[in-house]
Amino acid sequence: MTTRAAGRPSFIVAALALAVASLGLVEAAAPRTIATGTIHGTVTLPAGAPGRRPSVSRPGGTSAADREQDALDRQTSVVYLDNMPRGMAGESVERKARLDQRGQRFVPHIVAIGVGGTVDFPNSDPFFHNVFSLSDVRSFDLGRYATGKSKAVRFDKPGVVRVFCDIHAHMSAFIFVFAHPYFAVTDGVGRYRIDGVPAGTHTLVLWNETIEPESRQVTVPDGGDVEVNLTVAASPAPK
Amino acid sequence: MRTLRLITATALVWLAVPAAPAGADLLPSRPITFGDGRVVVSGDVAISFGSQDVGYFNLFDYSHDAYNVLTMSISTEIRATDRIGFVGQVVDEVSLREREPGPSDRHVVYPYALYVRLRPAANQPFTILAGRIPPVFGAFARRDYGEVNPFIGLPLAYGYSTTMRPEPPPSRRELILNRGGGWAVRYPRATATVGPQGLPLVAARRWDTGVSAQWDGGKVDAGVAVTVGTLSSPQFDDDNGGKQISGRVGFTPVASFSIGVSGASGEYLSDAGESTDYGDVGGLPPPARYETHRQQALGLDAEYSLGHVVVRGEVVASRWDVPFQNGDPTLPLDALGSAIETRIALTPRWSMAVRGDRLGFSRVTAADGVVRTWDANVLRVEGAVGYLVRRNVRVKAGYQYNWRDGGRERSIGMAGAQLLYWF
Repeated sequence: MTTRAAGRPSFIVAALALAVASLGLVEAAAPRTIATGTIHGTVTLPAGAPGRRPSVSRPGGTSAADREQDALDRQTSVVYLDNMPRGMAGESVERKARLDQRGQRFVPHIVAIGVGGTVDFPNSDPFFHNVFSLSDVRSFDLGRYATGKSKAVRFDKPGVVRVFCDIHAHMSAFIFVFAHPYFAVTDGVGRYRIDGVPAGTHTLVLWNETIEPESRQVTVPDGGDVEVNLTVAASPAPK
Repeated sequence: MRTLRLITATALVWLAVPAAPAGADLLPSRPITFGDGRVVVSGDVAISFGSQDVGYFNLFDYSHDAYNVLTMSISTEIRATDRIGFVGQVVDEVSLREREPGPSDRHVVYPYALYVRLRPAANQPFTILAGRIPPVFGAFARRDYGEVNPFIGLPLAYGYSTTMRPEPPPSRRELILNRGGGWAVRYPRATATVGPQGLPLVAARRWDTGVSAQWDGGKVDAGVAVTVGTLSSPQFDDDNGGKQISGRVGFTPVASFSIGVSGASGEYLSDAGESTDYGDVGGLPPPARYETHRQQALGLDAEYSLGHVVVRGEVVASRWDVPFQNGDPTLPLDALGSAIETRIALTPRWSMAVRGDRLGFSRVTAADGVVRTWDANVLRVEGAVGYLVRRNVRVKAGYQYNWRDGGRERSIGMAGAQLLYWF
């Protein structure tokens, strides 16, 4: 009994050493760096006409500041690579995001994370909010919660998740969940940048809530940048 | 009727089909905008199918009952400047009842809201509305939308037709003989200004015309309005020269709890009702002819919510000064409506709600010495299950049971379904 017990650890150590050595060999055999490049550019959309449902029974109406922010939100887009081969996916994907509820809106309007990532939903307004989604990717209802409280949701499947507030019908936001790191959310003037894209030809997709997704083929040179400006000419149709 | 039911049933099935990809949506899910967002148009459709309401427990304004009606509305907001806006909502209602109280009421189109909105200071939560305006009294009338109301029916205080009318009843005896018959009294009526059904305590489906000033300071909000009609009998044109003053103060000490106190007082009896000849008398006999006949009301509303549960309660106490055609002394007739409801979100798509509701009336003594409530007390329990097909498509199934201590039908159960779509 004692002999067998003493012999087992040495076997395990040997096996582990072999495994580690094997990994080292594999690591040494594989190329340490993959040729990559950058895709960047600007998304240009026609000026959208944001609109909240007329609040017939509430006297306040929508302020000019709210209308301006609504317009900016609707101009925000997501640019990403489609059909990225599994082995080419990198590890540097962001897996934490924050979607604040402030001034009766979700801030920011769009967040993007990697699969397995978590989004926090703090309530920064002095009244109740609720966050829920009917998406097939991740369906949830966080209930009503007050100022200063936050709830979080983990997303384990890639796709688009639209979230709403049950109390304030005009509030909505989008969460993009990716299985690779090759995506970007446009900034206030429509610029985007995707770094570390493996060299080669890829399908680049433009998503905006006011249009149908548009895609095009893009070839990324080894170690180089490629500028892809995406312009949508047609007026966005309400969806 | 069969064709209409077929059309609405087809629409119901079509709308209830699970969401197609966003790009394949045939119906808009967002308001339609013009003029750089300054003109916004939205719409609502609600189809309710249910049991035949033979007891007229759910008959609200315009002779339509909440369990058998197709309602379509278009709302438009024109934002002229940041401080001035124009808001309108036109409602088209088609009754799906098999038996109609009056054929002319079967299909009605009316301006539910039509007002100008002024914000004197852009950075202050102070608003003035003028026109056909949302009521400041109570809580339910401002959230009488299918997407907010988890039930198919309305609270008794906001929809049930009492025997009260904006005209004098013939006598106390006739009033008591007609207890529980608010949908159509059996005595000869002086006018046909409202009806054939009687007045609810507060008419949720019709708004009054006038001016209101409202201030929303977060923890405290307040509103006051001067209108030409009353809570129970809102008017587009003034029918008696009197004005109603109403107001509400709301307090939200913590985010999870809010409470409001409301009051209203205004002349409800129409000039036509007062001056019509009754037999040998030219209009109401004195001294009632020289009196002011008012509806006065007090309201208390409260809401508590936490997590997936919302609890709401509301009490409305109303008093009408009622003269009689035969010269019986004017009586103050009281009614008290009280309701408590809870809504629970079971999953992101499924929710359920239960409401207990009571409507009670004060007692009067008829000429023969009989003491009865002037209308028959009503008790109701209602439950509903809701399913959110999409963000803007909801299906509800509901059941309610009503008890009444008078009238032709003393108790009745109602089952129904409702489909809602809005953009």
